[in-house]
Formats: sequence, structure tokens, C-alpha cells
Amino acid sequence: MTADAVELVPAHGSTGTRRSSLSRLAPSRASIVYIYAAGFLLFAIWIPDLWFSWVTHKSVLNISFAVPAIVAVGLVVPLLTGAFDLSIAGVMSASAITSSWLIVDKGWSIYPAIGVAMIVSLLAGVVNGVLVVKVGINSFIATLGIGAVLNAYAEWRSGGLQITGLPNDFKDLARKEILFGAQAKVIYLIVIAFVLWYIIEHTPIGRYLQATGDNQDAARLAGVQTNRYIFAALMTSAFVAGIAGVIQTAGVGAGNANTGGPFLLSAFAAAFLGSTQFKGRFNVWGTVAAVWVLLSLVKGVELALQSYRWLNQLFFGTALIVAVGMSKLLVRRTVRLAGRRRQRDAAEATP
Amino acid sequence: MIATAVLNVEKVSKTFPGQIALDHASLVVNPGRVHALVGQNGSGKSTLIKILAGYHRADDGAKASLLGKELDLVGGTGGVTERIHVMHQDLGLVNSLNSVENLALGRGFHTGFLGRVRWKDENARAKVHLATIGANFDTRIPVGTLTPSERSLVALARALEGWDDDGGGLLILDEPTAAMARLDVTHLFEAVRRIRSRGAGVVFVSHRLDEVFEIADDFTVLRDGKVVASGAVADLTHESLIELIVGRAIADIGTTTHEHAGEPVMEVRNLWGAQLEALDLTVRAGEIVGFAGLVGSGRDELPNLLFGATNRAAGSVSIKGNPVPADPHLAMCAGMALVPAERKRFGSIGHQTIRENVSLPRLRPLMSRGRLSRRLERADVAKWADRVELRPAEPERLFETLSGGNQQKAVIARWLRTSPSVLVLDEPTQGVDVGAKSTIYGLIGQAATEGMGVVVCSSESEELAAVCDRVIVLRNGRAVAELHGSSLSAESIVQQMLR
Repeated sequence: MTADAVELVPAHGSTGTRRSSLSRLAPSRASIVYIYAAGFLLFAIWIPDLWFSWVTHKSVLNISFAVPAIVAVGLVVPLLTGAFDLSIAGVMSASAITSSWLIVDKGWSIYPAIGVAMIVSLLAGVVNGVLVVKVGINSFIATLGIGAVLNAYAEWRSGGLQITGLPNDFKDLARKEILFGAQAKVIYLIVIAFVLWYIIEHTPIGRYLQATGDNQDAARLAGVQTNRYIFAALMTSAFVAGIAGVIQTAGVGAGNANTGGPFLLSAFAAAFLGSTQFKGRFNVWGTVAAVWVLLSLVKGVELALQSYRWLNQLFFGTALIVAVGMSKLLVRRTVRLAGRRRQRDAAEATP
Repeated sequence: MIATAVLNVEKVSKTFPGQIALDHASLVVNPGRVHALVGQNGSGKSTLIKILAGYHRADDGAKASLLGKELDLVGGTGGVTERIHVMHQDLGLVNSLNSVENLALGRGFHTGFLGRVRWKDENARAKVHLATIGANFDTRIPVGTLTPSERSLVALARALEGWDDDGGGLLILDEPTAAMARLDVTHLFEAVRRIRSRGAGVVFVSHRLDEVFEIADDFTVLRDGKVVASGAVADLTHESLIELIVGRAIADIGTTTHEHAGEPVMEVRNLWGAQLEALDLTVRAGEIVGFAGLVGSGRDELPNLLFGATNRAAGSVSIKGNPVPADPHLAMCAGMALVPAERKRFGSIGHQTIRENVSLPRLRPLMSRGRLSRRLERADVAKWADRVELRPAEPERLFETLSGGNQQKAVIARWLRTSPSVLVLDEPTQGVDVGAKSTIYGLIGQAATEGMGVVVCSSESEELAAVCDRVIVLRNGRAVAELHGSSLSAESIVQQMLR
């Protein structure tokens, strides 16, 4: 069911014990902080005028940051259980088109329309859950298929055209500046990330999700209802992607059948890069930090070279490969060190 | 016998950290003879086989020759030769491919123009090859659809690739019949006899003694890494062989009997599994019930059937009158605990900490002000680490860095912590050193004293005899004997198991 979990073995430190919170900022555990610092320095020298302008960072914050970060933290939940969710892009598009179609074409008021969009998203999560948990289809395959079906729905519903003419009340849901010039969508991100962080790190549910992803057989035999958690995780990522679809639509001010497309790669790249940060496994704040750092670097290069459309793809694609490669190498190192330690112990045991 | 021995090994020893697996063992296999290698689990049989196959290196001083040529078992490359073939229990066939393809996989296909496989050649070769060992079935269908004996013949034929010329060499059959029905065994033995008649030496490893008497000419008995007897099978009786295998000096593990068994805690009625048939069982509070049986007797699936980890074909399990559904979570809620076999795969999450592994089934009591309290969790796990004598007693250590014995103590701590009414243990001392063994036996005894009903499934008869109040022996899925009091001994268990 989640044979793909093999790919997700987190890379812990090598001392045999988990480290204290202080050492979480060591270069090997929080490389992203150092990457950001290096990038910051580079752009400070390269394009000081643009880089030291508040407008630059505010545009990263308000325009590019919130939506990909929301999708990515939602994705963290199924990844923790060892399940992939490739349908998040499709869910985003479906929820974007559903909400904007109901508001513009059907004349619904905002909140019922959003409500229906969320129900559609949750339904997609339920279908994913049934296919993965009950039918036993590999999550990679099941969510790939469902994602495509959702994209088809969005294309069909929109008739291939942008749905424009959304009311300002709706656009304000995402764009309104609330705190220190940060738009509402940034606040949503913080709330969603906080809730998921709390559940994952501070409640038994987090432990169960993680145990499921680390060794599903052993977790089940330890009394963990692994199927239930995989199901719930897929519903969570779909629900959060649905929210992101609505926010993106409000932010852009138009419903688009390909709303979700660009966010699939960024979500996976950020979640995997985040998994190499702070904890040695998928975690919320590592993922948020990964999105922020990657987008800031993209912004810097964009300003320095004057806008290239290929930057996003290049950065996120590279980040995904580097992150997964890094965790592979770390696992191999851990295994090697553990082997050496056993050898030493054995040598001591037999003089 | 004038001809040179096929295999002659002397003074083979193998030391693992803290354990001597083989102690100056010797083995002589003559051409045209089937040599049975017998002994209990842990007697050193498989270590010897692995050294011959080149998986392990022997300690210094080992001498060996194969067909008169010297064989270097110490250097580690000695066993790797065309003249030694090992057929393992799992056969190593690719089930989706047919016999012809399986035979060709090892050596490569014969190809013609543009790398095209010469299927005609291959088919003809495979037919001839299989016919020489008496195999006569469709070679074009996937081996997964063949019967177990037909599959074993394919594996045999593959092992014999390249022996056509003189038929000499050493064939090692490592428990080939463990998962086979009687009729299949007969077919396999016919093939083995043909190979023997061609002059090969065959080493036959099996737990089933009647098979030893059926097929073997010579025998060697291993016990605790030493050869205790060797000779011709004709000079043996069933009883004398069992006596040699079990030995007289059975380690005293400190037997405690719990005669004061109380109320019934677990009732099992008419339980059926894939192999297990119609098991009825009542376990009382404070009682330790053992289950013995060979692989395939139903013993290995019983723990999972009780805990609901595998689906029950029929039957019911109840604890103190409440039914236990076939679901691990609900079984746990009903008061059952299972310490599974294969710790690494089923019992633990290796790269999580001891703390996380121990606390996993029961996290709610560790909540404080709406969140999981690390402080409470640490204190609780530290208490349990102390109680099961975990070494080192560091809850923040990664599980996989502990020794096998301490890993097992941690898994037992996990379940004792849930204060179950029924504790089921599957192979409780698998891969555990001697020191930890006695601690684990102590924990099992203590659990019973505290009023739990305990079920121990084990392939080690000495362990069952020492730890349990009564032992139920399973054979071919059925409970065939119940041993207790003076009738309970390692010998009587083995006798019932093998009959």
C-alpha cells in the first residue's frame, strides 16, 4: 500500500541518540538557514539597492510565499505516513474553479461557494483514501489518477476560459493587508501551519502518523490504526489544498483551470527539503522555511538577471533532487557509522 | 568406501561476538551418499552450511577438501565453487518466469544473431536437464503455478547446471521440505535419489526425522556447535536419534510452576487459520501456556491469529468474556498484548528512540494540558527501562543501536506498560544473548505472577519446557498433545513435534 515509504526513511544524526533542541541549528541540521544567509549576502553585494528595499521582501511575502507554503505544509501530513499525494494540484484547480464558477456564473454569495469548494476538496480526499486504504492502490498511482480527473473537471467546468468578475469582497479575503503590511493569506498560512505543527508535534496523533510512515507493519502491531491515519492524512492534504485553491483564486482575482499546476513541484520540493531541516523527518516549520528561502533566492536572481520564467522550475527541481539525495547520503552515513560502532563493540566483547 | 570423499571438513569453528556457534565441527560426505545433518535450532547447522556456501568465514584452523582439492574456508572465498550447490528453503526462483527462463537466468541465455535468444535450444536443453532428475511437466508455464515439488525440481535442476559430465559434486539441501506436503516430498526424494546414483554427495538438512530415515545413508548430529555423533543411519532408531539431538544435559533456566492458576482470562473457540485447525484453548490468570510445532504446523501463525493481525478463517477469541475482534487495535483495547517475532520488521521502529517505541501503544495518559508531555513520557519510559533491566537505560537512544536482547526487553516493556490481561509472545528470545534470555524468562514469569495469562510460542523446546506450565504441541495444524508436570520436557516436546 505504501511501498513508497522506503523512499521516505528520514535521516537522523549519527550519534545514536536524538539531539537536544539547541543543536538543531547546527549546520548539518539547519543547512537552509546558512543557505539563506549566503544568498542574502550574495544579493546584498550584487544588487544592494533592490535587495535592501522592503518592497522586494514584501512582494515575496505577499505575492509568492503564502499559497505554495500552505499547499506544502498540507502535503507534510500524508508524507509523514508514507503516502504520496499527487492530487493536490488537481484539488487546488477544482476548488478554484468551483468557487469562482458558483460566485460568478451562478451568483452565489461568497461563503456558501467556498463551502461547496471545500466539500469538493474533501470528497477528493475521501476518494484518495478509499483507493489507497481500502482498495490498496499505491498512493502514488491513485493520487496521480485522481489529480488528472480533477484537472479534467476544472477544464470542463471553466470551458477553458478564465472566470473573471469576482467581487472585491472575495478578493479581499486574500489580499487585505492585516498585519504590518502582510496580506490575509499570510495569516491563513500561519494559522494552518500552527495547527498542523501542534497536531504533529504535540499530540499522540503526530506520533501515530510518524510511526505509520516509519514502519507500517510494526505500528499496526503496536495497536496504531494505521489505515485510519493514512486515510485522515490524505483528507487533510486535500482539504488544505482546497483552501489554497480558494486563496489563490482570490489573490489572483480570477478562477483558472490550471490554478494548481505550478504548486505541485514546489510543495514536494519544500516538504522534502524541509524534511532535512531541524528534525530529520517531515516537519511543518522546516517546510515553511524551505518555501521562504527558495522563493527569496528566486526573487534575488530574478531581480539581478531581470526576470526569467525558468527560474522557479530550476530552483525547485534542483532543491527536490538535492534534498532527497542529501537524506539518502545521510542515511547511508548513519548506517555506516552504526556498523562501525557495532564492530567496535564486538571487538571489545571478544578480547 | 574407496573413492575420495566429496567433502571432508575438519576443525571448523565459528565465533560470533559473545557466542561460539561452531566448535571444531567435522563432516565427511562420501560420493553417492545422502548425509543428514540434524540438530536443534541454534545447534550450528545453519552456520556450518553458511560457511560451506561462502556466506561466513570460518575461524583459523579449519581444514577442508572438496573432491580431493583443498578448500579455503578461512579466506572466505573457499566455498564459492561450481562444485558446491546450496538449495535453500525459499528456492530462489522467479515465480513469474517459466522453468526454461529460470534455468537460464543463472548462466545467461544462449543467443544468436542480434542477441536473439535461441528459444529452441533453450527449451530442448531445459527438457533434457529436467528429465535427468525425473521432472516431467510443462516447462512453458510460470513456475509460480507449479506444485511445490515441481518448483523444487526446477531449483534442483538449476543447482545441477554444469554437472552433466561426471555428475560429481556437493549438493546441500537446506530444509527443502519444511513447507511441503507429503506427496511433494516423495517426488523430491525420487530426484535426490537419482542425483545420488550419479555419484554426487548430498547434505540433507531437515527437522523431520522420518525423512532422515527415509532418504539418508549417513548422519551427523550437532548440539551446541559440537558434533556429538556421526555414523550410518542404519544403526539408529527414532529414539536414539532424538536422544542425540536433545542431549541429556538440558540447561536449567530456573523452572517455576504456577500451579495456583486462577480464573480463565482468555477463551479461544474453534480457531482456524491458513494452517491452524479448530484450536480450543483456555488460558487462566497466572498461567504460562506454551505452543510448540514445526514451521507450517500452525504454531507460527497462532500469535497473529489471536491478536487479529492476520484474518481468522473461523472461530472466536474472548478475554474475560468480551470478544476480541480480528483487529490489533481492538485486541489491544480488549486487553491483549503481542510481542511479535521478527523484531526488526514487526516489533519496532528502528530509527525512532526507545522512548517513542515503548510509549507508542499508550500515549493518552502522558497528556498534560492538552499536549503530549515529554517530561511525563521520559519519566514513565525510564521507569519501565529500569523494570526490564534495559542496558543502556537511555530512553533517548535510537532503538536500532541496542543489542538484540535489549531491543527485546524494550518491546516487552512496551507491552507490559499497557497492563494487559493476556500477554502473547512469539519467539521471545529470537536473536537474544544468553544473559538477556534469563532476564526475559524472569519477566515472563513475573507477568504470570502478577496475574496475566501468558502464551509463549517458540521453536525452542528447551525454552518451552523451562518456562511454561503446560505446552501444547501442534502438528499439521492440529493440537496433538498437551504436556505438563512430569510429562513436560524438551525431549517429550521434540518427540511429539516430529512424530
